[in-house]
Amino acid sequence: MKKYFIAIVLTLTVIVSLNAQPVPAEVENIPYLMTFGPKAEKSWGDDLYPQIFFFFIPETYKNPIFIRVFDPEIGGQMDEANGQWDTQMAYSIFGGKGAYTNPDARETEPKGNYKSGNLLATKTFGQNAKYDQNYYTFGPFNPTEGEYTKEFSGGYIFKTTCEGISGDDGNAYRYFLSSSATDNKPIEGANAFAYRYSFRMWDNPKEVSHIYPYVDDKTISVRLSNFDWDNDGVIRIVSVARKGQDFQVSGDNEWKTAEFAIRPEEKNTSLDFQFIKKQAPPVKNNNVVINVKNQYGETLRFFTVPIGGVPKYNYKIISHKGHLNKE
Amino acid sequence: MKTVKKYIFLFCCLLQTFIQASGQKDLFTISPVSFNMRDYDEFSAVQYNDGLVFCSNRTQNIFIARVDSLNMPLLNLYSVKKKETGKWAAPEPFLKEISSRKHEGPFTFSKDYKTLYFTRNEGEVNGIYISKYDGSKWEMPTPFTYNESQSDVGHPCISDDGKRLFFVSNKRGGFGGFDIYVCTWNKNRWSQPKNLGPEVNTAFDELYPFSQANGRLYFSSNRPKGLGGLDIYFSKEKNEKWTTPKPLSTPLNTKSNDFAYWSDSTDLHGFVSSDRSSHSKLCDIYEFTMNFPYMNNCKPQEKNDYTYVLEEPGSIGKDSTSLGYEWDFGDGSKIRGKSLKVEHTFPKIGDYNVQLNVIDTITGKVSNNVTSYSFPVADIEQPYITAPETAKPGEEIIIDANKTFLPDKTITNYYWDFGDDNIATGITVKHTYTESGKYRIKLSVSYTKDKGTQSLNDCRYFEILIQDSEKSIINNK
Repeated sequence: MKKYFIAIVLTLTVIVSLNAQPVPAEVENIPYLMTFGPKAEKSWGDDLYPQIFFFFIPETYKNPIFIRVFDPEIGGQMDEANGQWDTQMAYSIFGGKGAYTNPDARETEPKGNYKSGNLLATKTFGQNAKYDQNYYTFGPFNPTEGEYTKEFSGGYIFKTTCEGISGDDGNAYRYFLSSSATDNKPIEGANAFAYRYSFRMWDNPKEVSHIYPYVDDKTISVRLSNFDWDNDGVIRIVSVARKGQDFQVSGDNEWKTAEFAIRPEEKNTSLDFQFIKKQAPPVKNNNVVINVKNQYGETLRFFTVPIGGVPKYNYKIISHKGHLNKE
Repeated sequence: MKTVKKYIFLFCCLLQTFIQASGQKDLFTISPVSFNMRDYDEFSAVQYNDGLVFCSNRTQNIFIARVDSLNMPLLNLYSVKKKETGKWAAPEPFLKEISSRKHEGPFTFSKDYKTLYFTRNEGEVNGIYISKYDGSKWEMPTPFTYNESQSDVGHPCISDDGKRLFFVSNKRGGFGGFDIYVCTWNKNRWSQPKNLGPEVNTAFDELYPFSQANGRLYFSSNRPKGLGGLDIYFSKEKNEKWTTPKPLSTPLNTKSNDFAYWSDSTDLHGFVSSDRSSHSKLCDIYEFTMNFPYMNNCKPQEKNDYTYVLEEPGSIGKDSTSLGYEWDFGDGSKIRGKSLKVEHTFPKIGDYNVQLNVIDTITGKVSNNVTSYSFPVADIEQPYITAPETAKPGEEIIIDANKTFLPDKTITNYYWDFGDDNIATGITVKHTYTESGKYRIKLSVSYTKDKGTQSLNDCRYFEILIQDSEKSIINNK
């Protein structure tokens, strides 16, 4: 049954990606975001912190927006049961001053006033067949209900939190930012980002997931931290200046960090963190967490639509007459 | 021999031979100089500063005709300069202060032009006289140590290094007629004259020696088997022996008397003297130019090699990656590995499209043609000599320049110097070496570029071994 379920999810991902602004995005090729109930074991793959995403709406966009959640409930086949389904999951939408700019909201381990700003909407889900593999839509919101920012040429930012209230089950879900309450219609110029990513890996070892941290011009070096990777392959970093540099992933229920220097050409570009699964034996239902900090300990943002596009290393060939052993 | 004929032989008429080769007539441009006078002899032109010095029996003053005891006009030295227009100015008497009422003729300068050796007819015989320039004037001439009282000594010529003085003499003990002798400068004096030997001298006359910086000794001789009268020959010293003299070809030699060869350091331009003119039998000076490139800056020919180093230059050595690479060279061959810098030898010249494929060694996924690179594999830009590496003496070999690769240039001619004093022109030539040894075949290709506005030459050489035993091997496939 699980096999068929994966096939269905794959199909859905493709269809949704074509018609809406999904989180995770198509170019990320991540099956689900994951948030666990507070009583779950950390070794299941989440470090039990709420998952926070920010949605950016360009100020040129004047129409109502909707934040839709696919499979918000905790039950059914997408989610991960631990015994009986007993988990409550709260989704909240924040806007107004401080929703984005409050530093607590940007921490990799959210605490303090991470629910800053104005609470625009909230909804708690338990097991609910109505929303199993179906949408719940928050909104409409006037874009100006978000917190105004001059970043990205100006616009409004909404914050979503998904937080386990009770129980120990795992919640797999997606977001969609839409201009429609009933359909997934993309908003031109919109984007989404997070400072910490908790998601589920594909079971298929051939699938490669990506995230795209943005490197600003003050970044000199980067510290990559990953949690509970179960030694499932490698993290490969590709950029405009890096054709593929592999880093070891963490084992079960552990953090692993690696540092690397940013090359000059990589400033003001996105990095492509590729999650290459090991081919055998396949690791299934692997939920992982990743964050990236600069040399000051400041977290780098992951944009679902990478700034500057998906970074690619531009191979080129040069030649000269002669022999290698004479050089 | 105390006749007009003697003076003519000694002073007027004589000299030279060039190189044997096909189509040589077109290789030379030769014409009489404008300062020749219809009723007088002019001969033995030698460069002096930016002009020439030559011998002539012309009158210095139309009211005074200086003659010798036989009523023959006196020979004297004259200088002539070339004007900015390229034309010759009017000749003037040279070194009037040291001239005498005697015949003064064939001469030579030291390289610094501060010493003059010249021939003077002193009484019954000719001798060599030496004058030095002290910075302000020429000193009175002194006789050469080895002048003879009973024999003629004349036609001095100083070697390029100044250490040898060649001259001619009909003194006893020679091979007959005039022979060429040489003295060597040693311990501040000239050594005893030494006859150049039977390789150069014959029972006939050898006159007007000229020592070229390239090692050739030019002289004139009326020996049999020439074209007629005096012909110009050259010989080279090899292992302290003189090679068999070779006559210069027409138009430097003719049926008339040809003599007094002088050339500049390229040996491609100079002057000869001859009585070949049809309207008089007087001697005139002729300026010649060999239409052949000067090949002193030839580079060794490089073997065409189609091996290239190809690399993906970005971040080499920085990425610890599980990526592998496949190089597809576009000639049907591929290699796989971890290296982003590879060496490959292409089978032949042509246009190739090299592709780089990336292999993820974890997933096995191949990303084809992440980049490609089209480039021409070409021969080295150079004149190219195809010739055997070895051959036998007497064996005719074919040498060609078909593989010359000079893109964007319009080739106008191919010039060959076989290294054995023979030359030729043409893209394919035949040649036969007569003696064993290692020879340097030079090929100079003349071409134009930039729509013919520039005319240039490029030169390469290739060494061939001529020997009796080994088989010839073609040097390039």
